[in-house]
Amino acid sequence: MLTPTIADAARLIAARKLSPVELVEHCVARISALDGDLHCFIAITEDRARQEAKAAESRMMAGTLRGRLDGVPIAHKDIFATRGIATTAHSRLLDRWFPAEDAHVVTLLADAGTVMLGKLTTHEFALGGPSFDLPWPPARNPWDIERFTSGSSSGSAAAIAAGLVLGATGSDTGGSIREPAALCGVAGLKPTFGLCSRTGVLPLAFSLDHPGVLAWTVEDCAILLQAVAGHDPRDPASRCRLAPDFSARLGRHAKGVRIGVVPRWHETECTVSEAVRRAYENALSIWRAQGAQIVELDMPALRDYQAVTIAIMLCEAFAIHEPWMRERFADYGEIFRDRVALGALISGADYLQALRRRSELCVLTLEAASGVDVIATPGAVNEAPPIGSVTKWGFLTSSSFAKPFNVTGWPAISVRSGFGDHNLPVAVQIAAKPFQEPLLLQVAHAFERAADMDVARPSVPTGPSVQPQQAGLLRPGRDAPSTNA
Amino acid sequence: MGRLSRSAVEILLRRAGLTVSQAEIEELQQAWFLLEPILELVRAEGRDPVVEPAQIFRADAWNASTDDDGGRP
Repeated sequence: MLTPTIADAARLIAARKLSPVELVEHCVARISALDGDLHCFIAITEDRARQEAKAAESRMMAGTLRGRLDGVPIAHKDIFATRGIATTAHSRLLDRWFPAEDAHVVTLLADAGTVMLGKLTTHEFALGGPSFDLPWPPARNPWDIERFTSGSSSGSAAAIAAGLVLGATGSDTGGSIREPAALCGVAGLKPTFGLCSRTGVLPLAFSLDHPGVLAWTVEDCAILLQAVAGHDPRDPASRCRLAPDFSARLGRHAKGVRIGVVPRWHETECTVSEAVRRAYENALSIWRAQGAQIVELDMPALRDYQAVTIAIMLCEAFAIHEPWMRERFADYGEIFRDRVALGALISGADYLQALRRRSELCVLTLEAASGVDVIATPGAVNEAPPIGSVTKWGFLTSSSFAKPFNVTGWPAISVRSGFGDHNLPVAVQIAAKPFQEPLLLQVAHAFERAADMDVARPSVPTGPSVQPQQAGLLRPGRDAPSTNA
Repeated sequence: MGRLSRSAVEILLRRAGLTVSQAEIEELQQAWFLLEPILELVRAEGRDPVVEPAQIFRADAWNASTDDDGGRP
């Protein structure tokens, strides 16, 4: 069996052509075969998964399926609380924490009938990684296990790329869904701030944290988002809005859509690799050919968004961890504790200035984008670097295209857009205005389909099983839904 | 703002209640040199003194999630 997409699995289960029990056994077998190299999982809950799969199969046979996610194997980033199951945040500090209740998002996905296969590797408390001084090793990139996954939803992205699960939760404070999605070649969606509940998700920075989802395709992200979006009165940031049909616009072209671009960002402020640039320009060509209008925007500098993100994140993270940092400093991994200790050096006035700058940037961003419907940027700056090359302080000096949409809270998605050096995936990012997820998903899906992004998953751990004909432009051997073993 | 001296870094860490090794104090001081220009960007000379922060307290919307309008009359 090949690991299907969520959409394909849903169709097959609904037609009684795929057994949820067989599907979960397929995933368990892949985890058993591959996770020793990939380190995607901190905990595997296969017994529970088998029970949930049997229940889903009973519903399938009785004609009482709960929806498209019923019987679909997923896993959760290990900062999402799971009742009775250790939730570690990939940290020694929480290695014996068994939450009394599920995170709100976990509950919603369980109610939708998903089968939970376990808890996924992250960076310590969603910031400290890749770390090699913690009880669990960092996740490895399935396209090349010597390469970085990015983070912090590292296990989520790697597990989907390798076909160990069909979908996963993630969280995004400064790119932590979209950047691992980009480096691992999967789709990663950060919804609008307030669309998905943060209840039960261990915080990194209250005002920047966005729970979200990752999957192999844009359509799968839409299906997952449908389950997790909605009001939660326990989350004070949760917005009281009815969730629209996030799949309603899938299948439409981008005709008539006004797509904003900011060439200065990737040409001078944050120069991208040749493959990233070519794949990005290819994406613009595809949308243009569909009838979209490409509009150049004058946006604030990336470094301004970067500064706001870092100042707010370090201060809020230090405030959250202050009691533990005082009592158990040495129990943290070195990368996390040193990064967050910087927050102790930032003045209260500077934190407030960052919040004021954030409000200015929100206004400037909205004004700059007033004439467009979405904004398209490259995904990550480069292909995945060697995992050993990532430094403790690199986050202070490197720019990214993700942070503008954490600062503003706008929804954004990373979509696989091709392959570059060493056959490593590259990505494009699309962002939309708040609560415009249906349009965002439409534009992303229009690209994904037209660019023939339904590619083979990597063959782990010996390297990718596909050979792009031309770096930066996708043309691997297509074998839908996937060709993994 | 001037650059933080090593002793200033040590004092701030001690004030925060952190027990940090001498080597880490040195390293944090070096990292501060990377952070300081970042903080300069958020200070924004000439900002109107009345500019509000992004998070605004609303007395009638403490539980803002129950009503996006912040409470109707």
